[in-house]
Amino acid sequence: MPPILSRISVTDMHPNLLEITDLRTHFFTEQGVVPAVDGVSLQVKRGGTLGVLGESGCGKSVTGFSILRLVRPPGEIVGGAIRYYGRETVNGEDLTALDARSEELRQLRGAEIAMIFQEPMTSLDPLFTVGNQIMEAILYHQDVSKAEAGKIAVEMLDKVRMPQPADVIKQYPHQLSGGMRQRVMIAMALSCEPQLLIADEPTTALDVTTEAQILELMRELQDELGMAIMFITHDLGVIAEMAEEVAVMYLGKVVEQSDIQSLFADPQHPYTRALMQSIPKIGQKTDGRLEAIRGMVPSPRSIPTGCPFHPRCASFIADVCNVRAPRLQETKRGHSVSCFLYEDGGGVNEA
Amino acid sequence: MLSPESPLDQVAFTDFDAEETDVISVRRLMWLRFKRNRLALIGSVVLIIMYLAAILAGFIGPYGLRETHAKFPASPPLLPRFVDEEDNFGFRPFVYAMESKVDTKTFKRVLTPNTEVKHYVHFFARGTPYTILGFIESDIHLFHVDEPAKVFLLGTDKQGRDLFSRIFYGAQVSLTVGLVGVSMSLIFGTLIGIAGGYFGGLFDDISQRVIEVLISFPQIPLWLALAALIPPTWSSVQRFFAISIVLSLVNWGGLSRQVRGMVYALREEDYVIAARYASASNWRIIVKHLLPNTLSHILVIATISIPAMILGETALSFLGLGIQPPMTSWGLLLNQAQHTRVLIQQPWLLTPALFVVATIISFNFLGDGLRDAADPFAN
Amino acid sequence: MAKYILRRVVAILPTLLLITIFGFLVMEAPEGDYVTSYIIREYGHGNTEAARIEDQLREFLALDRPVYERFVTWLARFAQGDFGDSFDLRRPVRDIINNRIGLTLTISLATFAISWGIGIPLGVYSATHQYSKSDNFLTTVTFVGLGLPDFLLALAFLILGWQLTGEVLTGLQSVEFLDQPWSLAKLLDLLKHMVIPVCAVVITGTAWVMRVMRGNLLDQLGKDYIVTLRAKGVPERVVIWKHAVKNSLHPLIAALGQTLAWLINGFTITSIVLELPTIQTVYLNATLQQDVYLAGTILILIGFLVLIGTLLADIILAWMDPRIRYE
Ligand SMILES: Nc1ncnc2c1ncn2[C@@H]1O[C@H](COP(=O)(O)OP(=O)(O)OP(=O)(O)O)[C@@H](O)[C@H]1O
Ligand SMILES: [Mg+2]
Repeated sequence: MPPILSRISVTDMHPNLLEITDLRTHFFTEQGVVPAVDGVSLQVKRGGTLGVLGESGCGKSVTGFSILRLVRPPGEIVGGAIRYYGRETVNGEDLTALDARSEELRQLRGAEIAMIFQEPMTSLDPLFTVGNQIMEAILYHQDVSKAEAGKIAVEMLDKVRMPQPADVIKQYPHQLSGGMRQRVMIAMALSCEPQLLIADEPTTALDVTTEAQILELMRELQDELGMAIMFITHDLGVIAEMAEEVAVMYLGKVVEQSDIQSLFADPQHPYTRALMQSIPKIGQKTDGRLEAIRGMVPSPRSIPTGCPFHPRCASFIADVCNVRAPRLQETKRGHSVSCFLYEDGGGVNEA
Repeated sequence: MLSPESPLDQVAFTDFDAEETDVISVRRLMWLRFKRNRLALIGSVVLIIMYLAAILAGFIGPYGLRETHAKFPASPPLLPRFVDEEDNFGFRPFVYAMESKVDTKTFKRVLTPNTEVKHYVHFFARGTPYTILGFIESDIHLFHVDEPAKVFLLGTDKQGRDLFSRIFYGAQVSLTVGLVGVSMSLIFGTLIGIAGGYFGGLFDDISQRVIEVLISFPQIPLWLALAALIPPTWSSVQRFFAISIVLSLVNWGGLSRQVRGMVYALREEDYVIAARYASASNWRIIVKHLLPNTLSHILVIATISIPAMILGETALSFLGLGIQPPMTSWGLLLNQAQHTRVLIQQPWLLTPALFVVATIISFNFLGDGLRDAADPFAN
Repeated sequence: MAKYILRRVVAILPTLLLITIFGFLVMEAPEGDYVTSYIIREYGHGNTEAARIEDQLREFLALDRPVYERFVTWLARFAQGDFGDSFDLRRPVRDIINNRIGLTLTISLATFAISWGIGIPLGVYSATHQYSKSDNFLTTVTFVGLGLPDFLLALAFLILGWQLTGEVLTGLQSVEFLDQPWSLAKLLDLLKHMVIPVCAVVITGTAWVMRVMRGNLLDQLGKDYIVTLRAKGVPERVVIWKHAVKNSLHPLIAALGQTLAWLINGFTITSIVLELPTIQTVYLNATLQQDVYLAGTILILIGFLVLIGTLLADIILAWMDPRIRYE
């Protein structure tokens, strides 16, 4: 296995491993167009961890799938760019320009960018052994014999703390528990030492203890292998534990991106602030109710005009927020937000 | 960790704003989904037309079910024409009367048109009396020509009976045998399915074993074996019901099994368990909760199994084991086409097959559309 | 695995008995006693000897004994391969079946191989090109194919064949080859006669296989594990043929169980229409003539094949699917 550092010359590395600008992925269903991702911009730092935070249905998974070009019809990437600075470290390559069935993309998948999924119970092929499926990932990317691939598979399972890896390799997915299957998924994803791991809510389907173990494991493996992680979750707690950077998504858009300290210390977007307030803090007196955000997430089929958050926003500015859409702008170093409260010439000064 | 539960989960559920979500009833949703399926709509339209035509058989056909035209046995189609012998075109369709003679040398029947008189086709004209649905008496026909001219749109059989008229009388039998058969399967299959699924136990075991054999056993040999057992002395109405029973005897198993599966799943649903805790009687739970919830699926399954029954009747009658004269059905009409030599001389005898095929395809379309519409997992 | 197979074999024994009882009842069902009808029929054939062995026959068939004794006597003989005589054809049932099984299997295996051989790839193609023009076209063709009963198609083809060639292609051999030994010319003649029945049956068969394959493959292609496979860089060809197709074979293999019996009873009516010398035609005539031993034996044979087929399908499924194997 080629060690990662030999692949990249240290001198001219781009600081970001992945840069998404204004990505749009729409689903052209019979009932109309669903703009599941509608202008997402975010960056993943080399070796860093970006947490992607957002309510169910806001387009987190679709963003992840778009990066690996796994979106299937009727879904389609209709705009934006996904620059990946893995091999072509200076200019990066635009993944949206590749053919979804091209050999180039296939070689990227799994080897450079790997992904693990929300549902460990259904993410493995039930008809093949765990070993077979891990080896498959290895054999399609590395020039090794079957026997060697088998050895690597056992090593990987050992690395993810699977008890008796040599036996597990001969077992079928249905014989394993959810936590064990997620370990298999991680082992499979890491078997080719990818530079970027997209983890799509990997612990949502697991119980709290298993969740803690898996998170711990991912952090350790990241230290060991030096990969970057894009960690998708709807859980602020998990974000706090895992991420260095956070992108907050709302209805197919990134509304705020910042490093974790700055986000928790100074949440700027009204949506982010509302999220923070809805968490009960220990020791703080409440009148028995959680402060929640007004209203419901609108369906992505009927997205409000202007800023999509305006119908629920506490700082709604009439005739501004419901007319124009705000842009993501840096308000301080490493902290961007998409809201008229912070936009130059925006509503704040005029109001 | 900040909180064991995700705050975002709570966000979604607080302050529920009812007007933002369109609450559509399940039935309306099914109708909407069904309406989108073009093939299913075409299928239903074709079927509606077929059933109407079957009901109005006497009106649509110019001749009666048993009306024979002794001089025109095995006649090819005699169609209305717009152009006469002198190549004059007119908008009123007419026919020439045919003279039918047997050639003394070849012993073949030869038809020669008498081109002196044009017999115009009359629409909504009086002809042979008939009854619709057994109580509406009339003698108005959709179209009619005066004697001695004849109009045989699809030719005649060897007794000289008009195939076109008989096809609609045949439709009455062919289209109902499926419905009667399916209704019988439905009653039988649903009762056993619900009983098995709800009560379980020994009854369930035995019925499942029987169904297993029945389902995997090929239908046609069973149909043949059972149909051969119907006493030949039975009247044609008795035979009709006997054939329906034979068809449903072979068919109820699959339906029953599906119903049982659904009841099995529903039995564990919260509201049924709740009803049981509220000590509702079994009967009440079945009628109030299980039946309504399985009804749409039962209807879908029933629709899907109709084509097989129609085909079964066609096959049995085709072989002479099904419907007997004086009734007729599409299968029985095709029976004359069974002998290759006859068929090659009179290929028009095969036209009832087109009706069979159209009906089966339409039912398949309809069944598919209904199934997709009833599937809660469709988008 | 061995334990699983053993369990399944034991489980079909009661069903096996059920089928023999059913078959026996069908044989017993016709009114009147069949020794009498046998003698009348023999008389019709000019055989006056039959009346003299009436008593012998009655005793041989245990007709004067209670039903269950009759059943046991019959079953004992049946188990030894003595299926009784056909009254109508005046030959042992066993010989009749032996005589016809060859051509029956030739036709049915040919149709089976063709419809599965075409149906599976077309189904896969249709599913992997969902919403495309060719998929829409294939789906429509499937629908029509499923609505065309094979015996009506056979009739239509017969007329078509007659108009094209002037020959009426019924049966499987032209008269001049009937009692000839096998030769190239005879083989070609057989192939020529097979075209109509095979085409007629293949259309419905292919449509069915295609439809099942397409539906299941689409189901499988929507599953999470497919995304995992693509995400780890497995080539699309492998994702589909090695994983998705293997996962969607389940209903087809379950149907394979019924195929075994289908080989000797499928397209019964087509056989009759085309006057094919197959077991199906014999079966229909036997039913019409109430030739009970012949009809009953074929019915029981079909039942056995259904059971064996289901057993085989179960074993294949268990071999393919660890979830069944380890249950
Ligand atoms: N195949 C599809 N067809 C139509 N719409 C789709 C499809 N896949 C996703 N969507 C739409 O895209 C939106 C975003 O979906 P996505 O799966 O990215 O949400 P998510 O943020 O990952 O939510 P969750 O936390 O529930 O996983 C959803 O509202 C959904 O309706
Ligand atoms: Mg998701």
